[in-house]
Amino acid sequence: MPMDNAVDTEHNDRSKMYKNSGKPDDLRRRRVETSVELRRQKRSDDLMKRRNINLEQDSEESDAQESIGESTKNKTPVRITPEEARNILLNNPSLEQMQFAFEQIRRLLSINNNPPVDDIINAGLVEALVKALEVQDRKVQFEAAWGLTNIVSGTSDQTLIGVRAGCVKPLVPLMFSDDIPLAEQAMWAIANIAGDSAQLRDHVIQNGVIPALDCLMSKLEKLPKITQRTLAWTYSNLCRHKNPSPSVEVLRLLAPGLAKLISVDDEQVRIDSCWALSYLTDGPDENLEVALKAGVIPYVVDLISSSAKDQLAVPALRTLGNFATGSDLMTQVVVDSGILREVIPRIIKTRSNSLIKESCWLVSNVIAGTQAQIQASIDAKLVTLMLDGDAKSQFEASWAVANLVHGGTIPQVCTLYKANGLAVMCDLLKSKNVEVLCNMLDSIKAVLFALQAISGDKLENAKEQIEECGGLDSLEALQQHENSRIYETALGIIENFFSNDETDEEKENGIAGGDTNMQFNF
Amino acid sequence: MSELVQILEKTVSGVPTDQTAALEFLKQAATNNFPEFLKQLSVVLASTETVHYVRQAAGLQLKNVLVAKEEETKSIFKERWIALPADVRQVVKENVIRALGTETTRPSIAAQCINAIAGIEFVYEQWLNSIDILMSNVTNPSSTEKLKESSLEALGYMCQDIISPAIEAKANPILTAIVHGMRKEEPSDHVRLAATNAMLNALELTKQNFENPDERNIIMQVICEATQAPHSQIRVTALQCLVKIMSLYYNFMEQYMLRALFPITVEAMKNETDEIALQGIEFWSNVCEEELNLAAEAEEAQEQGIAPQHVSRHYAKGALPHILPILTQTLTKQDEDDEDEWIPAKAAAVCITLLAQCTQDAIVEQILPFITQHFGNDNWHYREAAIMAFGSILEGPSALILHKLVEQAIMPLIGTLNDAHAAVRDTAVWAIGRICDTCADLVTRPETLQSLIPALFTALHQEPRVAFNVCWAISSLAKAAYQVAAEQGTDENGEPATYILSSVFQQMVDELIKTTDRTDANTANLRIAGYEALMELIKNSPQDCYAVVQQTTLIVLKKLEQLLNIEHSLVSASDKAQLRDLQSLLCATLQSVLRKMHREDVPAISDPIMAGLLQIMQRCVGKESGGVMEDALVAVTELITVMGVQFGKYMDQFKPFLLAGLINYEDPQVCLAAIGVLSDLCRAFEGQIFPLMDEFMAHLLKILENTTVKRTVKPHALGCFGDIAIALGANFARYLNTTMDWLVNAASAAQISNPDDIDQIEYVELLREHCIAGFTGIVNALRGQNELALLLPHVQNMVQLIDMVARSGSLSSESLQASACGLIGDLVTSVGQPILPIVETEPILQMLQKCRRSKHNKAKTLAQWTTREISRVKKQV
Repeated sequence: MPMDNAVDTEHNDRSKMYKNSGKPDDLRRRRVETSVELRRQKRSDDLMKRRNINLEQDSEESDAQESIGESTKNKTPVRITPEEARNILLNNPSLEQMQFAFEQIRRLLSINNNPPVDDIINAGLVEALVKALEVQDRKVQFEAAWGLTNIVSGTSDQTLIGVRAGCVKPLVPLMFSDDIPLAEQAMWAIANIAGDSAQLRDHVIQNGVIPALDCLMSKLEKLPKITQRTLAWTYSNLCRHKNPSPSVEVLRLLAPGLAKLISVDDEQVRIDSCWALSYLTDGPDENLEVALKAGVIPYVVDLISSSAKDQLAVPALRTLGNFATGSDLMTQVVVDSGILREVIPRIIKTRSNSLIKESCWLVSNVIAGTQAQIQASIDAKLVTLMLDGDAKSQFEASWAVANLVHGGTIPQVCTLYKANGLAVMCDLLKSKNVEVLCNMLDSIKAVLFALQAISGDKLENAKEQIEECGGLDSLEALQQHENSRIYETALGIIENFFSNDETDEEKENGIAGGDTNMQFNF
Repeated sequence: MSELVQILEKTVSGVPTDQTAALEFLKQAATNNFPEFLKQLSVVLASTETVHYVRQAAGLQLKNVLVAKEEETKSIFKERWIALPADVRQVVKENVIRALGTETTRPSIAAQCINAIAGIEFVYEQWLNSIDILMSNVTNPSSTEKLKESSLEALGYMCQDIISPAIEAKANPILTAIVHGMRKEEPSDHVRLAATNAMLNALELTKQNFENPDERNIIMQVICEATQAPHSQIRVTALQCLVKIMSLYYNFMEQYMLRALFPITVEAMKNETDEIALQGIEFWSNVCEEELNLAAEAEEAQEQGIAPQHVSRHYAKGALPHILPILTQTLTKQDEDDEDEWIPAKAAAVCITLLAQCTQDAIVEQILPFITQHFGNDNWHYREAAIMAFGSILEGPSALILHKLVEQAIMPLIGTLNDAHAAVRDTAVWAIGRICDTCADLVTRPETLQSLIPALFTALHQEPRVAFNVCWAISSLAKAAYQVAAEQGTDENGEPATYILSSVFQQMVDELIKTTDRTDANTANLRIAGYEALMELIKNSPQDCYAVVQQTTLIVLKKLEQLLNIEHSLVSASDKAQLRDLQSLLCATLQSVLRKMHREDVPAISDPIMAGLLQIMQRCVGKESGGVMEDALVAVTELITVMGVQFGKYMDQFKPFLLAGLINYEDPQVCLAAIGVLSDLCRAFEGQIFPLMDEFMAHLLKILENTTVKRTVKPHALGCFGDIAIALGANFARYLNTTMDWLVNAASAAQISNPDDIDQIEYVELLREHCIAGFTGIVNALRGQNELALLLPHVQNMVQLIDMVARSGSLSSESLQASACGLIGDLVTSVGQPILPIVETEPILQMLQKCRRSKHNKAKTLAQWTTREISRVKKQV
């Protein structure tokens, strides 16, 4: 029985990478895969044919969005190259020729694998597409808007090329069109541009996208679901990005629309508008006031408490969490919403990690507020809950604890002891994160001082707890820490509270790096 | 006992008759009184008075009745051992443990016996204290060298072979022993080596220990110290540990990289012992691979808008200026002859390839001086190394930089095809092939081809190793030329009218066929490469080369005939293996020719093709020639596709082979190919296949019922139901209930229970894909008014599968989601309004919307069509 042949196999794998030596095996495998792939293709073509028979039967019902559906399979598409399209367009084209050329360009841009975006750009067709937006023909405008959508949804460079060619200016008026698919297509392109960066977002705003959105909002009830969804997504892109964030004036204009969208009975619309709100509220108090005035809070709270799905609850929680980061007045909005009492505890007990994290973040910011706000959190037993959670929520909880000891009254600080928090706090002393360590050391110190002020018995009991759970070992180890604040605080705690106890036994067990000869505690 | 000793002595006597008799005796003893036999063997193994080779033989016999390679025997052995009375097992265990350290030979057979016993007992949570015994054997200061060494060997085997939570729970004592044995204070190299070997095997078990900084420090410290041991095998193994740690625990390595790992591995790369240098290089190749994976992970995370779970520290980029000079220097240490041996020069080339992929543009500037300086060096070692370095960086750098680099290099490189030294020409032609893969437009310029083509033809007549790489270069060149031409426009089959190689196409085909006929084509895989190039050439041929392609068919057929005639005269195993390869290749060539063949030209040639294929299949029967059979079946499939229902005239002769293929469970590839042929027959014959179907269907069901067939085969049988249904239409009703049972069963079993288990996700995807294909075919087959009633009871089950696909979100591929959308459309079309409440649910509507917005054409088309069907049906009030 040879010890290990990992060496051989490892060389075998590598040697296949040397020059062409791995190729023969590789190709045999690929041949088989090709025949499987061809068969899959045949199967799918066959089905397409069968389905298209039905498709043709009612082809009069031709919505532009759906025209792709039939045409790709029915007639073999006449593919023309970007050069050829350019030639058609340069030679005084008729309307039919323009329709044809722009449809072809759009088709090229819709190929799944590597659409020739750069070829189209190099052939100078982006400028042509932009001009086409102003041709007074619905088909030409639609194809051009679609083609541009596919260009600006590419890489950032490609987006920029579309913008530099001036596409935003003529796209915006199309959003006012009564032809809803056309308006949506234009909006789609705009949304892609706005989503690219803060600068491009401001660029579309300067070009009057907000009135165009207002116009679409005025028809909201009549819009198809898909368009409503694209609309919400556009709003979210307009609120997104920092450095700089959108100005508060802009947000003030967007907020009424968002308030309307968030009440639409469609999950995707709500998700996107809620994300928009979370971006909007990620800023100074004046932003928070905008959201508050728009009256969205009841909807947000409702989403948090009633959505079974994380996709909805996360942006909603984030929005409310942003309020908790604001002034005491804004934080009070969270407390007044009543969410701390039942909803948040339920989430912390039962939901996914990402929701728990959001919730803990929210709570820790509430605890950073007034003593009354701290008391609201304590009354809801939130600190206890967070500390009882798993490692991830404990990490978040460490911030809540730190906030509590900084802003809380002595009895409030003592709740940490009552909630059996010391063991968890000691556990966090093993963390590598300097901030977490500082927070925990300060918190432990604060709890011990608070207990000292209240009752000697409880202090003794707390000290025992710290010793039993290995916290004292951690404190001693932290005296060696390179960060001066950490070792000083650790030292301070030991000198103040533990200097009388003899701790020879512990020392024996400590593991110092270098000595490998001992019986260590694996 | 003395009788047993004598018998055991005979097993190693070297006299064949004695050996046979002895083995027969042992077999009898094992059947007559197994417990006693085992006890006796263990007694002999442990008895220090007995001569060493007899003890070894006893250990070997003992081990051989405890473990076996083959799964079935293994589990029989396992049950036999665990069924023994506890006292018997106890005696054996005590004896094997007692034998440790008393053996005079290496490696310890007692250690292997302990591993064999533990492998069974640990599953039942028993004998876990054996690990504590082994640990104290190692840590006890009074233990002998042999005792420590063999105990560590035993631990090493256990870590390697036993996969059970029980051994993970024992990671701490195992590590304590290993670390103790690895210490630099350990005076015995044997002990230290055994410990290091054991560490290499134990690394997977030590996840928890690596998460603890103190314990991690100790492990890293002993391993790093072992890389400096005087004994070179210890160093090699310790370096292997570092390589493996880099894969397993990349994210913990930051604190060790600069101070320890970097200097240790760089020194190793420079070491003159090949094995050590190889591990040093492997360390960095492995870093590159890890970081390439991390880059892919980061990209994927960015697309999904989430933070990646693990982050790259870009060690490769940081180390580049320091390790690249060592690697290029290593490139110059090639062997005189081209041996298959794995040497540092080759490993360095692979490492540079990976570094280029990992560091992209950064490598170009740093390696360029070496390339230009040595391209014309008088010493061939340096010339070859320079070209090797160049060819190795062609994948990674950005297109623009690459283009500039290659534009300057291509003509001088073609010039080196005249080099005096074969190794230089070999590498140069390989590098040209790489250029064809990466810079299609440059290599297909007329002025380049004017020099390149004659140079390639000349090189095709040179040493087999050179000609081998020429074949690959021709493959790549053909692909490049075809790709460039196709971008200019194609007909409805996707073929361009002509391409730049058209004028030399005939000559290329001729030259390649001549190459496959070379008497030395057996060496260096030349013949395989020649055929592969021929196939690639045919596959990538434009319309104006069709006549040559057609003519190639005749040549291939003639060769096939010759081959079949000489087959019986071949006797040696290697001749026969060669023949099988050749048959496979000819079948494969037929596949590619047939794929290009125009329908109207097929009748003239189908008889000889089918006759040849039937003969080949005939000869495969009962032999281990699965590969040939598979290729022959795929060739038949191509023939069916071009001939359509005309293929019927061969069915009587062909059917037995197809049926045999369908029950060839030992060879899953053949079975899969046979299922594929059946699918294609359905498409070609449509309703006319009905009379044959009972028999085929019975065979498909047998595949699904079989418990030994590889699990990836079954989904394909399910998908085939769909093709059969489409072919039979209303007649499929006959098979409806049986096939539905299997499909529903499989669909409900296709669940993702662990989103991190890639194998599971892949298998579920495969299963769902084929279930949907099966359902889709059936829905389409039962479209008639009378059949609808048959379909209705099954609708709910189909929607359930669609719902599961939708709920899996991005765990389902876009293509699978597209197929699911198509099935919804089919169901809506067939069933009409009543189905709407169960398909207009949140997950399904979301999937439809996602697919409508997809960049993937099939997904977009199907989702849009389905959405339209839904709204059409809604309006029919």
